[in-house]
Amino acid sequence: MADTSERTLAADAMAVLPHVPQPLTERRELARHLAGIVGESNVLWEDYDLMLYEYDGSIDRSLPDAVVFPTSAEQVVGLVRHCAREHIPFTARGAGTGLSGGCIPVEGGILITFAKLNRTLEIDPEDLRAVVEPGVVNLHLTNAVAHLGLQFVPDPSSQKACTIGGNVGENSGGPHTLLYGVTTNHVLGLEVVLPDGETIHTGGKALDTPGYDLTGLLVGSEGTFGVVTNAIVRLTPVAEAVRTVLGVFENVADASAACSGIIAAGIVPAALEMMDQLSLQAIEDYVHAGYPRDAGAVLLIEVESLAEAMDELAAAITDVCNAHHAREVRIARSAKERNLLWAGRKGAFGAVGRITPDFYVMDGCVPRNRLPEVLAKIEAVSQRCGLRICNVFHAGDGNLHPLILFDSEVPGQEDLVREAGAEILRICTEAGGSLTGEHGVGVEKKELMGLMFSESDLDVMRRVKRVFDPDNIANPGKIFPTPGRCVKPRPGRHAAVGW
Amino acid sequence: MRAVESRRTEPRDALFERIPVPWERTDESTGVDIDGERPAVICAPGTVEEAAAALRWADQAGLAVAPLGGGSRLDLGNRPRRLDLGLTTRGISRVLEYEPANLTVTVETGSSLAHLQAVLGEHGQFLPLDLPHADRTTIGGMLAANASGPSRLGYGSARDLVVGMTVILADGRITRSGGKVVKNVAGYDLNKLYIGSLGTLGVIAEATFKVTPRPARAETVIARFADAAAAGAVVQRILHSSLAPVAVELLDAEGSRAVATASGVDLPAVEEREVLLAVLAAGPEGAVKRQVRDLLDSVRQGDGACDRATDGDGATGRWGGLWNAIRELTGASDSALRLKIAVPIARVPDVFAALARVPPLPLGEGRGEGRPRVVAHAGSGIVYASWAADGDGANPAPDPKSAICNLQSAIPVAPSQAPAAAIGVCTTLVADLRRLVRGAGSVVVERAPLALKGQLDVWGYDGDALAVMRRIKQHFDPNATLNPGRFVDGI
Ligand SMILES: Cc1cc2nc3c(=O)[nH]c(=O)nc-3n(C[C@H](O)[C@@H](O)[C@H](O)COP(=O)(O)OP(=O)(O)OC[C@H]3O[C@@H](n4cnc5c(N)ncnc54)[C@H](O)[C@@H]3O)c2cc1C
Ligand SMILES: Cc1cc2nc3c(=O)[nH]c(=O)nc-3n(C[C@H](O)[C@H](O)[C@H](O)COP(=O)(O)OP(=O)(O)OC[C@H]3O[C@@H](n4cnc5c(N)ncnc54)[C@H](O)[C@@H]3O)c2cc1C
Repeated sequence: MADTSERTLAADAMAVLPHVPQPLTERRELARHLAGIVGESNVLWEDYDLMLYEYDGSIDRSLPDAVVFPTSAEQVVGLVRHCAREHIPFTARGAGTGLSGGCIPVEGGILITFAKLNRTLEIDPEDLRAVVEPGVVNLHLTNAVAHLGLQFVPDPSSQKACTIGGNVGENSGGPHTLLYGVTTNHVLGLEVVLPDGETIHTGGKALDTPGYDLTGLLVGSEGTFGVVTNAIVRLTPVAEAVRTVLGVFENVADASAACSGIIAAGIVPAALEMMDQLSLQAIEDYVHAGYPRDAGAVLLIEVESLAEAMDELAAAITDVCNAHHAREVRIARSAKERNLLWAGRKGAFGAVGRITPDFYVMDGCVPRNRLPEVLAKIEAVSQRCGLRICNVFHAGDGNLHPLILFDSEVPGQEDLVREAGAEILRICTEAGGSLTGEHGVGVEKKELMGLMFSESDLDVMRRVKRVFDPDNIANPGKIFPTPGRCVKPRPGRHAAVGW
Repeated sequence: MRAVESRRTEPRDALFERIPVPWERTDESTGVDIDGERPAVICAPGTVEEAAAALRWADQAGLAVAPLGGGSRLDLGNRPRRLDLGLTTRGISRVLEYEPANLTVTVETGSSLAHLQAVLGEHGQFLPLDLPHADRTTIGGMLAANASGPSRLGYGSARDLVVGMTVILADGRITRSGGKVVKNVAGYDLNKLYIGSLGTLGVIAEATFKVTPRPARAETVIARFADAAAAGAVVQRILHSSLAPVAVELLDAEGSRAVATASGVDLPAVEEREVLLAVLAAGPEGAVKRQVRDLLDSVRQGDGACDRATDGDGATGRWGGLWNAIRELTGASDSALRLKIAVPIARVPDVFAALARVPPLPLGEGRGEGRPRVVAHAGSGIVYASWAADGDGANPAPDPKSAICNLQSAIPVAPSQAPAAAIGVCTTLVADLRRLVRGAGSVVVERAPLALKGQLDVWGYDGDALAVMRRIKQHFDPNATLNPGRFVDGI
């Protein structure tokens, strides 16, 4: 991908054109209608207020015409009905921690925010289920069931802030989803307000509901099929024993090989995370987790099971690490030591934020055994574009999170970042991987969907979108490449741009 | 379109001469029979592209197609509304990509489950979908029917294990969904839509799975309880512990008798009202020993009697036979009537109690006592009740040579022979059970005499999303080419 015309195309592909909000008078009129549904105190429409809702955790932005905070499912129905009648786009927003622009209203319209629809409706320990409204914060649910020895498994690193609705929207993962599965494996039923205002209920507390698995289809649909107003989720007993191991390596190649080796040895850890040198140094400066600053990479490996299995598993992991030239294998001896090791990993993004004005989080996924080669190629991208890239990621399932460090004040850097990002994702897909392991397509990667899917594949997805949302008002402008853009080579451009 | 018009003017038989892939005409002896309907011909494509060509052709000719896997589950669903062609996947059966280090495998769907397991087994791995008769079950049929076994508690079901698929749409387009890596959220998760769609949205041609390392050790614990409620309390204790067993099954008296007979394992005698609990523990050596100890403790605290545990490999040999017999009972093909009842976990004992109250079904002479055999994936809230069609519930031996083509012979009672009295009793029974689980679960009639199928809704879907499901079918298969009529609400 040395050809500059391709690079420009990639950058172009990933840029978003922000929505220009309606004039104030029209917004005031819209807000009056909305206030009739949710009450005046639950509507925002003035410039200053809207600006707080133009962005999420990614680098794209776009202003809504109004922000509403429904407090009941009935109000959501009222809002969606209004949108359907007036052909106004609507976008659901949880905590706005998304990393692909999923909740950014690229075509304006109404932003339906779930901060006030956040009750836990039912905790049903006997059936190992909970019923929650979408605004419930991920960690709050786990905390609410902790006294029962239970947990809600998906644990995005943003779990202190992100919501169940957002988790459902993105089919989020987290460090511990290697063993336990991602959001879709833990969501068993949904109440959804469709774009025409009708409410449907999918799945339930029981498994195997007859008919098509709409729950599975809805999870990860990024709010483009409608708005989730409650979710039935699975609760899982907390493991009795946990052991945390830190494997220290001279380079990422050895660490990657050890990662594959652990899996090949028949061990499925609960978590298997990698941090490379640049991130280790940033983390140490900030969190003081006790990571070696001079190591090439570390693996943070956690196994969960019964107490009796711990020694066996830890010994096996230590053997594999040593076989792959680990400089040191450290086992956390206390909860305090374990928490410290995790504080480093969980604080990684914050730590990196301190060494750079801005950074851009990528989210490719590759087959585990291609990690060494893919990481080397990412390093080459870094060299080529002159931007530092560090890697903190879910190595166990090959889910990379390259963080591209940049400064948005420097003219041209944002474009350079988008280019580098697109190139990294192309490397991932060429290695047989995915554009996104857990953060979603959103606006960020929609023009790159052609890297993974043919026109026919995308057409099937468009058909499904039309089933739910024939008028394209539910979170429009997401997931699908803009027609005529990017996927087809442009006239005069290099023919190889056929992705 | 031209083909559709020509269909009106020329006889169907002449049309067949233009099928673009190898095909053969069927007759009585071929035996492929879907609820009394026989496809006139069976197409046997050798590649995915050929299968696509056959489907495109049929779609344009306005003919109805039933995808055929191993033929072990063709009785699932409503009677077909139309049926012209069978499309067998038996020629599309290679394992395409297998990277043990990635714990993923991509396979063509005509492969038998057993074949796939053998390939994975060479590297100490397996696909944790434990269906009976893995030699006859194809990957495609398994996914289309969303089939699963006892170990879904520990490992999940197809929706948790499939990461990508290649699907041939009704118009012959070959499309992909998902990916080949274990974590992927690019675009909609269409895999979920195809799993359990019973071939009504497309022909599943390839699938990529997450696979699992074989556990180092496995043991079985069994125990007898005075009734389902007592066993249910112990199941609760187990599910809330961190023991995380792979399978937790409950069997009633008839069920455990059938399993004992089929497996030859000497199970405790279970009297009426009593139930048998079977738990499969698997994992590293040390963990399994501890699981067995704690499981036995739980059983004793819960007044379980006759508890015992295996000592050695509790999932192969004789004990493997036990688990296979349990799996087989959930899909008992010797049954005149088989129901799958899904409820929230804690309500499993209620379902046992309700089934115990059901009067014997008048299934006709020489057709058993009319008592259900009940077996439950108790940890997953799924109960199967089947009424044997003949005396002792023994399975007729299938003819392996014509696995696809001998379905009828596997059904001892000609479906249309159900006595009229039985029909009334059965419809009442199903209605009663549906009332019991309303709003909380479902009762699917998985197998029933034809006469009964005409009298009740086999799926019993009572939710509010039918309009969406219909629109999905309409967008995927506008000509209703694929398995028309078989699915929920006659989709
Ligand atoms: C004795 C016995 C016991 C059983 N026990 C169980 C059990 O415990 N649990 C359980 O879940 N199942 C059970 N089964 C069912 C069996 O294991 C199946 O689960 C499997 O789903 C059917 O596979 P098949 O290849 O025979 O499919 P078929 O019977 O050939 O087809 C099943 C359905 O899927 C469709 N289909 C087939 N292939 C495809 C494809 N490639 N693409 C799209 N649609 C397709 C067909 O049109 C049909 O509607 C049992 C079967 C037998 C014979
Ligand atoms: C520091 C940091 C760490 C992170 N770590 C991880 C991680 O480890 N794993 C991971 O997977 N992600 C991670 N993320 C990404 C993000 O936190 C997740 O995607 C999260 O699930 C988003 O939740 P949210 O409530 O913020 O949703 P939002 O960002 O508000 O929305 C996300 C998507 O969901 C849709 N949505 C929200 N609510 C609803 C609803 N009620 N109905 C329908 N659609 C809805 C939105 O329209 C949007 O498309 C991280 C983010 C940050 C900032």
